[in-house]
Amino acid sequence: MAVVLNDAPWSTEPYSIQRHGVEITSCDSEPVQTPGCIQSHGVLVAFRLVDLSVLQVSENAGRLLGVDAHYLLGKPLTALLGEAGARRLQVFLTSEPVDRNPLYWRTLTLGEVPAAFHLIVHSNDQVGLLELEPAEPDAADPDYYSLVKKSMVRLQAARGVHEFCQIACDEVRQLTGLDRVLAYYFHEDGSGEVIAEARREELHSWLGLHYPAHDIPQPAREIFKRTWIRPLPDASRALAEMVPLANPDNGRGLDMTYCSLRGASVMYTEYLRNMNVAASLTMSIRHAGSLWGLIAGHHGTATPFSWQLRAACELLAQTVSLQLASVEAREHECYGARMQAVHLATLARVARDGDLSKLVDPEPSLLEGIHCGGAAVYHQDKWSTVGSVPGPSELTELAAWLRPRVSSAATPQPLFATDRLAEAYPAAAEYANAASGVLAVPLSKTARDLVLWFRPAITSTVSWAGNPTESPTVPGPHGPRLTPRASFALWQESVQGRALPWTTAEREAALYLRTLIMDLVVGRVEDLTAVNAELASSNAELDAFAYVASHDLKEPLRGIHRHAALLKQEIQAGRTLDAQAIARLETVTRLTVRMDGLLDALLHFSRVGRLELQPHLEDLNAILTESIEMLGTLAADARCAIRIPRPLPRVLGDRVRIREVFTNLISNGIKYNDKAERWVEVGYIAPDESTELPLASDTPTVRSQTIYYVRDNGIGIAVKHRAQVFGIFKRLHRRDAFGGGSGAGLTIARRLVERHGGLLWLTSAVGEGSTFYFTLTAAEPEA
Amino acid sequence: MSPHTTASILVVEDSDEDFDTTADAAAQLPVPCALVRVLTIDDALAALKTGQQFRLVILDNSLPCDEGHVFLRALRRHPVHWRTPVVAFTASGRQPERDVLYAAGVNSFHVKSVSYEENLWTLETILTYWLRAVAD
Repeated sequence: MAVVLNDAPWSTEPYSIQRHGVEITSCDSEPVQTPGCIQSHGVLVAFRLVDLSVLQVSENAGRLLGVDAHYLLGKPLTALLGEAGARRLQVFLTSEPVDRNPLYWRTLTLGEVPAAFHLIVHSNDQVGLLELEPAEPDAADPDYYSLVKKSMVRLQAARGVHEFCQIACDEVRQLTGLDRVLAYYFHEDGSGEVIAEARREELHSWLGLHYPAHDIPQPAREIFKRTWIRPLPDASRALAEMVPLANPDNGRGLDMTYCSLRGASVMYTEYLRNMNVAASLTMSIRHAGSLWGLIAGHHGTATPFSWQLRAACELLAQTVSLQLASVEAREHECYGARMQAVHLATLARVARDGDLSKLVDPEPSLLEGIHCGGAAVYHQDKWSTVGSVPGPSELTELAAWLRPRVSSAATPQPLFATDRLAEAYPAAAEYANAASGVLAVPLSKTARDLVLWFRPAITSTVSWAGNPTESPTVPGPHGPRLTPRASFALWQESVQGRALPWTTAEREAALYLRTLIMDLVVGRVEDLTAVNAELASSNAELDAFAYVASHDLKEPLRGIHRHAALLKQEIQAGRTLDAQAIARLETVTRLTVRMDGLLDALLHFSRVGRLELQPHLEDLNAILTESIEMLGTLAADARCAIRIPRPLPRVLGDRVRIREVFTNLISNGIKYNDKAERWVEVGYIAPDESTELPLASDTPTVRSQTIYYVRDNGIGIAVKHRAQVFGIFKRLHRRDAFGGGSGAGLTIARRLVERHGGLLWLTSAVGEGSTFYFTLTAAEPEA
Repeated sequence: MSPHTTASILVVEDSDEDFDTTADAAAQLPVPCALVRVLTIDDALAALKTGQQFRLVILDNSLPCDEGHVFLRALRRHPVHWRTPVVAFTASGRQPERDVLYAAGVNSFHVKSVSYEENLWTLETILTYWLRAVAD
């Protein structure tokens, strides 16, 4: 960890890179703004703003200017610039915005040497700064203005952040002629990633390289937030210390934040040397007050960066920063729109099919919306998944863990998101590659149903080949740590078990999808599920129809075929139309009638399922009278008495259908009866009557309703057959026994009662008789 | 009558027409055989208890009330009748029904046709095969 500042060796005197240096462990507290040293290709002069007297001078003044640093100390700047020069500087200082803003002033020949210097002027907190850089003789600088202007046009054409950064790298490389230009992006955790690169062809690519946050220490980041450009033309050149190290006015080290000559940390220069980089030029990319990333230029040999070039790069860096905001906003907008489009498309399918599992069907599935490696939907007790997800039992366990974390009681937003699942839920370590990150939203208050998105471990998605041969054979004093390879390895370690974080936009998209599902779909799904269940049951009925058609309808057909075939044979054999032949024809006729009856019953049953009831308040006595009339002579022929112990109540129901229920039940009571004195009794039990009844459905809800019954003293129904009697075309007896019948009567009666919302059930004793009970209203839900 | 000369065949069939076709087929056989007809599963179960032995059972699976497999399982557990071949001759040949019957130990499964000639041929073939070609 960072060393506490008070313990640092420079806590008692101003810091100097040359004197103190830093170690890997202390570089986070290195006072890089006051390094005490400058790059020795130039000279730095610090002077008091109020009287232009020299406060500090870099020790190399004697070598470069032929004027000893100590000679200048305390003297007015006229000692260096002459009277006229100092006056002009005074004017420049007052007329130009030089505060924390280095500006080129002029090029002069100074001191005892004939060489010309570019003079850069700025000020910071009562201290004036004069940076003297040797002017390259015969340096004809290109038309930077036109170059940068072209670069801006190219940048404006970029459609996404990556393309934008790529163009920025290309333009910077073209402008500077450096061997390699990289664009770093700083992730939320501070780690860096190379997202774009322009390089000489023979160099190996660094694209995709990641490095941990501490590779660029916090103090260095602070400087990059304030300056646009950081030149280091010769990383291996010796440093020149300031004389004196402390500003005599305040006793502090000189703040060189804005100095292009500022000396570089030994950590940085060692890293560069380990990469065989001799010169570097770094620009900051800032976005909304924070450091978004860097553009880093590297060169294999020392190379001067003229102030004109630096000014051009600075302008480019500012442009990049300004435009990045809109490119990023546009990209976010596109991503947001795409997430929404995908979610709406999947929802449309869900709404159409009434099935939430359609969220993961292609195309598009949830996979194409929020960036993820896999997605899973839990609905109606089953998982539907797409992409790379944990196994079903692992999903179920994870869901159990997630539910209390996404329920509305636990969190203001019904959402759970983590980019390091295994830290909170260790079992997830088993499938970290598929699901290091999870984003979960519940589809109901109880969070029983869920939508989950999974993100793989970063390490499983990022590969950086690097190049072992690029590692230095003899690394610097701090060993191989200060190399891209070690950085990458450390970064890999630091993101172990982690996924890319879920962005605000992604969370919002997930929540919005949830809202849509709950508001628009869940209700609809429930409707559709009910419709589907009905469809399924009518499909089952249709299936039963088909079964019956193949079964019962073919039976008379076989008989018809048989007699027709035999008749033909017999006639061909020369037989005349005798009594047997007539009997065959009569059988054929009889069989067609039976088949007609079966078809009628089938059609009727199918209609019963479809018809709309027309309920009115009806007098049940009148309905009963009608149904007995419809039975015609059936009761009389069987010498069966119809008993009605007391008048029936009024009822809300469909007159025709209730009549049919009575007809079916009464005719069964008459037909399935072998007693000498047959009787059928029709009555009811009022809700308040505590009649003792062995009711199959003797529940409070049924008890709160009026129960109607049809009782007979017939043959009874054995317990094992009680369910079968309601099956369509199920007969308990052979076709012609007990007056025949299609076997659809009880099925239809039950169906009609159910259409009224009621229940139909029976009790029976074999040989003694049966009682069929029914209700005609839906049971009130139990309080 | 000796069982070797006259074979008794239990026919579980509730359709008169279909039984008549079975009788037609039996009449074509060179070997005399006696058909014992029952119309329900209950009656078929009762027939197992009469002491009469059967060379073959022809079972219509589409009977009212219980399904044929109930009878079939009872027969396979019966100390005397357990080895009697049972051939299903039935109106519906859906896979689940076939599975149930085969699981219960049916020897073969045949689906009734609407064509009289075809049914006759099927029944003749069944009878010829099980009465003549298969050893006890």
